Amino acid sequence: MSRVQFQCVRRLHFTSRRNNFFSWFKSKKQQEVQVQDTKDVIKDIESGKAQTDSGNSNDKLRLIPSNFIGEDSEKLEKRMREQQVKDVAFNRWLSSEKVNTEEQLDTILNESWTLATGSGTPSLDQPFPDLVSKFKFTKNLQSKTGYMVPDFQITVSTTPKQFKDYYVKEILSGKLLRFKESEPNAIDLSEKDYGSPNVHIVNDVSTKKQNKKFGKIIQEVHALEQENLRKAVEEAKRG
Amino acid sequence: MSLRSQLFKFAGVRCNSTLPNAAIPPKYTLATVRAFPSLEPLTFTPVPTNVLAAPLRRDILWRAVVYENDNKRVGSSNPPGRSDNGYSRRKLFPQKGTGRARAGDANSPIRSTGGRALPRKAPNDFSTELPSKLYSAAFRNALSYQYQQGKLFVIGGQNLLQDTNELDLNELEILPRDPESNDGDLIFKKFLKEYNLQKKKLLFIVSEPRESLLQYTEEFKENVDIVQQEFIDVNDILKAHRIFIELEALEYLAVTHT
Repeated sequence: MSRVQFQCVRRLHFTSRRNNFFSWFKSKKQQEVQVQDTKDVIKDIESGKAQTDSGNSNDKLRLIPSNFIGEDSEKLEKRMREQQVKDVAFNRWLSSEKVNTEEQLDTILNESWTLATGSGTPSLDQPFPDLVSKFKFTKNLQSKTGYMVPDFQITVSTTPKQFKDYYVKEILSGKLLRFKESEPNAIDLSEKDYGSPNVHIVNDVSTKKQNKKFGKIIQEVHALEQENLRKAVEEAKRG
Repeated sequence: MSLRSQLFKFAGVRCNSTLPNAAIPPKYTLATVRAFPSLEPLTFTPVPTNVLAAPLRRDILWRAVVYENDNKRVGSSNPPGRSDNGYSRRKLFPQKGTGRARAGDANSPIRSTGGRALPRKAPNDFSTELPSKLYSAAFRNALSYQYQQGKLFVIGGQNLLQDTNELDLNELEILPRDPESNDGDLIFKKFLKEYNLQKKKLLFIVSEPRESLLQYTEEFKENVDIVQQEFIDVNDILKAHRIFIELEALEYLAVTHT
C-alpha cells in the first residue's frame, strides 16, 4: 500500500499595523511657533546669525529678450525658431552654387566622366560602360550643378551628351525658373521667338507686381480726393 | 555592321527599312534609391516598366478615382416608405360607386402626404465595382505618372556603392540628433526648406508604422500624409505634389498590383 503524502500549506495573513487611537491626535498636533522678542531678532541679524530676506524671486524681472520693451514676443520667437532651423545639421549634397553657363556645365561634365570611369578627356557621345559608372556620373553631375535630374531622364539618357542637352534645354534656358507648379501647362511667350516686326508680345507681369501697382494707384487717388475735399471746404468757408 | 543592325540581330528582330525606329521596348526603368532626409542618391534600382514607366491612361485613372470616391461615400438619408409613414392602412374610399378616382390608403406614394416609393435605408450604399485588374492598372499608372513627372522619390537601401551619411537614414523616419534635444521637428522643417516643399502636399508611403515621423510632422499635418503601404489609394498618389516611398513599400505595391 502506497503512502500518500499531503503537503500542508500554511497560510500567512498580514494586516496593517494599528496604532493607538490617540496617535492620530498626536500626528495632527501642530508645533507651536515660538514667538521671539524683537530685540533678539535684531541682535541675530546684526551678528549675522539670521539671514535677511532677499526678496521674492518672482518679483525680479528676468533679463530675457522677450521682457525688453519694443520687442514683439511672437516675432522674436519666430526669429529664434528660424535660427534654430538654420543651425540644424543637414547633409547638403547638392551644391548651393547653381550652374549658370554652358562652360561651367562642360567642366562639370568632364569632371563627372573622369570620376565615374577613371579615364580623362571624354567624348560626349560615348555611352556609359555600366550602371555603376552611370550612377557615379549622375550623382556628381547633380551635386556639382545643384539641380536634381528626374529618374526618368536618367534612365533614357545613355550618353553625357544627352545629359548636356537636358541641362541646356530645361535649366540653362531658364525654363525651370519660369516653371510654376500651380500652372504646369502655362505657355511662356517671349519676343525672341518671333522675328516678325508686326508681332509684339507684352511681357508677363506677376500678380504680386500687379497688386502692388494697383495699391499704389489707389493710394494716390485717395490722397488727391482728400486734397480736393480740403480745398472745397476752404473755398466754402471763404465764400 | 552598324550598331542598330547589331542590336536588332541581338534582339532577334529583322532590321526593317520601313520602320527605321523600330526597337524592343525597355523592360525596366531606373529609380534612384535615396537616403532620408537629405535625398542623397545611394544607388539605382531597376523597376519593371509596367510599374513605373507605363504610358498615361487617363481613362483608367478616371475610373479608379470614381470607384474609390464612390466607395468612400456614406449617406444617412432615411425617408419614410409607405409602411413607415404612419397613416392607417384603411382604404380611403370604396373601390366603386363614389364617382372618384380609385384610391388606396393614405400612405400611398401618389398622395402628397404619402410615403416615398422604394425608399432607401440608412446607411446608404453608393459603392460601385471595378475589375481588380483595372484597379491594379490604375495604381501602376498613377505611380508611373508621378515618376515621369520627377515627383517620386524612393527611399531606402544600404549598399556597397555608397555609404549612408551619419545624418541620414535608410528609411522614412526622423530621429532627433540627441534624445534630450527632441529636435526632430527642426530637422523636418529644414528638409522642407532645403527642397522648397513648404506649401506642397507630401505623401509618405511607409512599409511599417513610423512613430517619430508621425510625431515630428504634426505641425504640418495639413500638407503631409503618412500612409502605410496597405492603405494607399490611387487618389492619394494622384493628389500628392511629391511622393516619398520606401523601397520595401514600392516592392509591395509592385507585387500586389501586377
